[in-house]
Amino acid sequence: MTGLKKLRDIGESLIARASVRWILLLLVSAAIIATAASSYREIDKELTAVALLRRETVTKIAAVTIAEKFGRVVDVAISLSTRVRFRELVAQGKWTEAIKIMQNVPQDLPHIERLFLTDAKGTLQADMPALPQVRGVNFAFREWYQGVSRDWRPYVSPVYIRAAPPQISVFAVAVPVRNAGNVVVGVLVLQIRVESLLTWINTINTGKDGFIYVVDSKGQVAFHSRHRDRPGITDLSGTPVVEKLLRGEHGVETGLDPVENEEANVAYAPVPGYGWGVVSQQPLHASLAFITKEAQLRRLLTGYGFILALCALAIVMASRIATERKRTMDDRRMKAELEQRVAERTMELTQANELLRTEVAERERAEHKFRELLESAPDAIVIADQEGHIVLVNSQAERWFGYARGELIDQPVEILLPERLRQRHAGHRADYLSAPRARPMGNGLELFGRRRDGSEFPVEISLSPIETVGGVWVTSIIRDITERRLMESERRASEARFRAVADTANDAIISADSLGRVIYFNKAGERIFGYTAVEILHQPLTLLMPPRFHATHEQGFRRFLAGGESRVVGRTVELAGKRKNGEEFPLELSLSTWKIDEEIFFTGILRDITQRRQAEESIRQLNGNLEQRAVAVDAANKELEAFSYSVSHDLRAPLRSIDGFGQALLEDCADRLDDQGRQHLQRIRSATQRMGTLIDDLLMLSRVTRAEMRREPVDLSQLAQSVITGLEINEPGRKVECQLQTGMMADGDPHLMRIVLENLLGNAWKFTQRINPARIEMNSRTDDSGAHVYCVRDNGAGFDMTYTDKLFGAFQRLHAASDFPGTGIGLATVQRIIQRHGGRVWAEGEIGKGASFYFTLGPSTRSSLQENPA
Amino acid sequence: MNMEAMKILLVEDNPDDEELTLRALRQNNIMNKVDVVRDGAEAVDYLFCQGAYKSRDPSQIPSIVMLDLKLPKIDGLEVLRRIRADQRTRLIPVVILTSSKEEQDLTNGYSFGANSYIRKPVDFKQFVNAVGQIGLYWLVLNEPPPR
Repeated sequence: MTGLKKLRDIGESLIARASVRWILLLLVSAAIIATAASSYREIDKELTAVALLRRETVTKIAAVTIAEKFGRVVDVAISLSTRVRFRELVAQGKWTEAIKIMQNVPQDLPHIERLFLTDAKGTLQADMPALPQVRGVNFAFREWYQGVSRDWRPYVSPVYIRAAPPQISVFAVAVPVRNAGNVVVGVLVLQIRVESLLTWINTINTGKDGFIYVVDSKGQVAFHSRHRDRPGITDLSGTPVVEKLLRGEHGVETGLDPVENEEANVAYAPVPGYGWGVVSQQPLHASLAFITKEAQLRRLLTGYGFILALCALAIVMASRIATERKRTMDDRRMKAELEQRVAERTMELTQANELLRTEVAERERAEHKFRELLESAPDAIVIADQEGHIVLVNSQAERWFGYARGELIDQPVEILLPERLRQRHAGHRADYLSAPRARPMGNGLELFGRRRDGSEFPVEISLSPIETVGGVWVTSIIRDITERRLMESERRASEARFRAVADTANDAIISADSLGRVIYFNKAGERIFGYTAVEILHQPLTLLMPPRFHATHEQGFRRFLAGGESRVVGRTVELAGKRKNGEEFPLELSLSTWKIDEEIFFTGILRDITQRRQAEESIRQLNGNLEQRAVAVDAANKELEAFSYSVSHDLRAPLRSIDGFGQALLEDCADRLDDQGRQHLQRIRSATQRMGTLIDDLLMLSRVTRAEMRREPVDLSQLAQSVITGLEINEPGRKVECQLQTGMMADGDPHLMRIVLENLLGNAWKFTQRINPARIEMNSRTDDSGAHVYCVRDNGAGFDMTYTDKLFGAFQRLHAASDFPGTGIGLATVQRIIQRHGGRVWAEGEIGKGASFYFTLGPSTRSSLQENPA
Repeated sequence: MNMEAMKILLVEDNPDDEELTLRALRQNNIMNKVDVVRDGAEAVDYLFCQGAYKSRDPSQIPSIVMLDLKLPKIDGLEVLRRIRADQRTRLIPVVILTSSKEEQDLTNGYSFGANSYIRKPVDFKQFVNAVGQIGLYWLVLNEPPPR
C-alpha cells in the first residue's frame, strides 16, 4: 500500500509536472517500446521453435509405434508360418487343412482382416474367410508377392484397396512357408485393415487444426486423421515432404503445403525398417493465432492510451515474459523428457524385437533339430494327443508300419496295433494318462505292431508324456525287435549247442572271470574234479589246484591281467589238478581267453591224463623191451651175415675141389676109367655144380632180405629190355618174340627190381625154350585202387594152378630139373623183394598154355629207416 | 721177355685150390715161375723180403699177385693194403681170386686198389678159362708199370 501510494505520489507528482511528464513518458515509452519490440521478436521465435519441436516429437513417437506394430504383425506371421503341422500340410499341398489351423487367428488378432495362402507362384489356394471368387486367382502382380518373392523374407506391402468388397484400404504382410527341406512351398499372407491397425493415431493431439497422416513405402496415404473417410488412395509421393520421407529423412519445417494449400508447420519421420513415414502438420495461422490477437490488442492499446498501454504492455509483457520463459523452460524439459522416453521406448522396442527374432530363430532351429532328430532316429516315433489321435509320426514309423504320414495323422494310435489288442490298449492309454511319466510300455510283455498289410512284428516301446496346451501328448518310441528276437533265439540256440557240446565233452571245460572265479563248469568237470557245478561256481580256481601251486597261479594270473606274457594262455600245458577228495592228478590244460567289454575271461579245457600217464609208462616199458629185442635181432643179423660170408667162402671151396679134381681125374686118368666110371665122375661134377648154384641162389635170397633198400623211380621197360638183351646174348640161338610195353615206371630199389625182372623174364625165357614161336610180354595196367599192376606173361610150359601156393616157396619146384633146371629159389626171391616193397605177387597159368606173373609195388614210404630183416 | 723174370705170386692157403690153380695155369700154357705163399703173413714177408724171405732178392718183384681173401694170420685185404702202402710194391698188379661174391668183399677189394676181382667158379672148366684169361691179360697183353 505504501509502495503504491508512493508510486501514485510519484506519478501524481510527475504528471503534475507536464514537461517532465512528457519527457518521462516519452523516455519510458521509448524504452518500453524498444523492450516490447525486442521481447516480441524473442517470444515469437521461441514459440515457433517450441511448437515445431513438439510436433517433431509427436511425429517420431508415432513412427516408432507404427514400426513396433508392424513388427508384431510380422512376428505373428512368421510364427504362424513356421508351425510344423502347418508347414507339413502346405508342403503336401493340403491348403484347406493348412488354413484351418489359422481358424482362430482373426478372432485373436482383429486387425488381421483376412488370411490367405498362395503357392510359391502366387496363386491363391486357400483363404479365410473364404471368398470363392478369388480362389485360384494369381496374385503375382500384387506388390506383396513381388516384395516377398524378391528374397523370400517377410514383407510388409504398401496399402491397396481390397479386391473384394468392402473395398477398404488394407496392406499385406507376406511370409514364405518352407518345407522340411527349407524350400519355399507357399506364401502366407495376412491382410491387415489399415484403419484398425492405425486408429490409435487419432488419439494423438496434433493441436488446433493439426492433423497427422501416414504414408506407405510408395508415398501413398495409408491413414489420414483429417480425411479419414476419403475413398481411394491418395498418392502424395510428389510432395516435397513425402519425397524426403521416402528418402528416409526426418525433420521439421515451415512451408506451404501444396495439398492443403496453406502455410504450415510440418514434422515428418520415417517408420524405421518398413519404408513408411509419418507426417504431422498444423497450419501456421492456427499455431500462431494467439500472437496475431495480441498484435491487434497492442494496436488498440496504442491507439487509446499510449502510456497506459505502454505501462500495461510493460506489465503484461513483463509478466508474459516471465510466464513464457517459465513455459519455455518447461517445454524444453518436457521435450528432453520426451526425447528420453522416445529413446528408451525405441530401445525397449528394439530389444523386444531382437528378442522376439532370436526366439523365433531359436525356435526354428530347435524345431529343425527336433525334426532332424525325429527323422534320424533309428526308432519309429509316434506322438498322439490326449484322445489318442496321432499328431506326428517320423519316416521310420511310416516305413515300418507301411503307412504314409497322411494316412496316420488324426487316426487313433490303435491303428498301429493288432486288432486283438486294440480294445485293451485304449484302457492302458487311459491308465497311462492318469499317471504319465517316461517309462517302457508293457513291462515284461511281448508287444506287437501291426503293419498296414495286417502283418505283425515284435516291438519294444517307451513312452514319455509331453505337456502341451492341448493336454498331455504321449510320445511313443517304437523299436522293431524282430532282428533282436531272431538274434536272441539264435543266441539261445547257440548257447544250447554250446551246452550240448560242453556237456558231452569228455574234457572238463571251465570258464573263469578276471577275478579268477569259476563262472562255468561242465559235466565232465564235475566228473573229473568231483565238485558239482553249483558247489564250484563263483569259487576261486585255486580250489582245483594243489595248494603248493596257488602262489604261482596267482602270480601268473595277475601278470597276465596286467598285460604280461602268460606261460599258459594259448598253449597246452601239463599241470597238476586237485579233486574234491584231495587227490592230485595230472591234467593237460589248453587255455584261451576272451573279452567282453574289456573284461577278460578264461576258458580252459582240462583233460585228466592219469590214464595217459599210465599208458605212457607202459609204452616206455614196451619201448625198453623192444630196444632189447632190437639189440638181439641186430646180433642175430650180424651172425647171419657172418654165416652168409662164411658160406660164401667156405662152403664153395670143397665143391670146387670136388669138381676140379673130378675133372683132373677125367683128364689125367681117362685111359684107366671105363665109360661107367667116367659117367659117375660126370654125375659127381654136375651135382657139385648144382650145389654151387644152390648156394649162390640161397645167398641171393639172403642178400635181398638183408640188403638196404633205396626206392627211386625205375624205368622197368628199360630194365626189362636190358635183361632180355642179356638173355639173348647168353643164348643167341633162341628166337623169342618179346613185347615190352614202353614207359613203365615203378618206384623201387633199382638193384632189387633188376633181380625181380631177371627171375621173372629168366623163367619166361627158360619155360618157353620148347615153344615155337616163343613169346614174352611185359606190360602194366592200373587196377581199381589206382595201383600199377605189372605183368610178365609167356606162352611157355605154364603150370597147374592147383600148386600155385607152392610157386613162391623156397626150393619149391613144379617142374623136373631135367625138364627145366633151377633151384626153386628164384620166385621166393622175387616174392621177398616184392614184399619188401609192400607189394603183392601172384601167378596165373595153365599147363602148356603159358604163365602170367603179376606184381604190384606198395606206396613208397621214402623213409630212410632201415627195414627190419624178416 | 724172360719168362723166369715174370714171376707170379700165388697167395692161397687151401692146398686143393693151390693145386687146381697151378693146374689151370699149366693148362693155359702159362709157364712163368709161380711162388706160392700160404698165408697173409708169409705173403707180406715174401713181398718185403723179411722173416723167412730175408735173403730173397728185393729186386725180384712178382709181375702179378694172385690173392685169396680168406687167409690165416693176415687176411687178403690187409695184404693188399700193405702192398699199396709201400713204395716198392704199390704198382704191382693184384688180382683177387676168391670164392666169395659178397658185396663187402668186392667193394673193399676195389677200394684197396685191386686191379681185378675174379670169383673162383665151382665148375673147374670155367676156372681154367678164368685163370687163362688172367694170365693172358696180365702177363701178355698188359704192359707192366716201369720198374
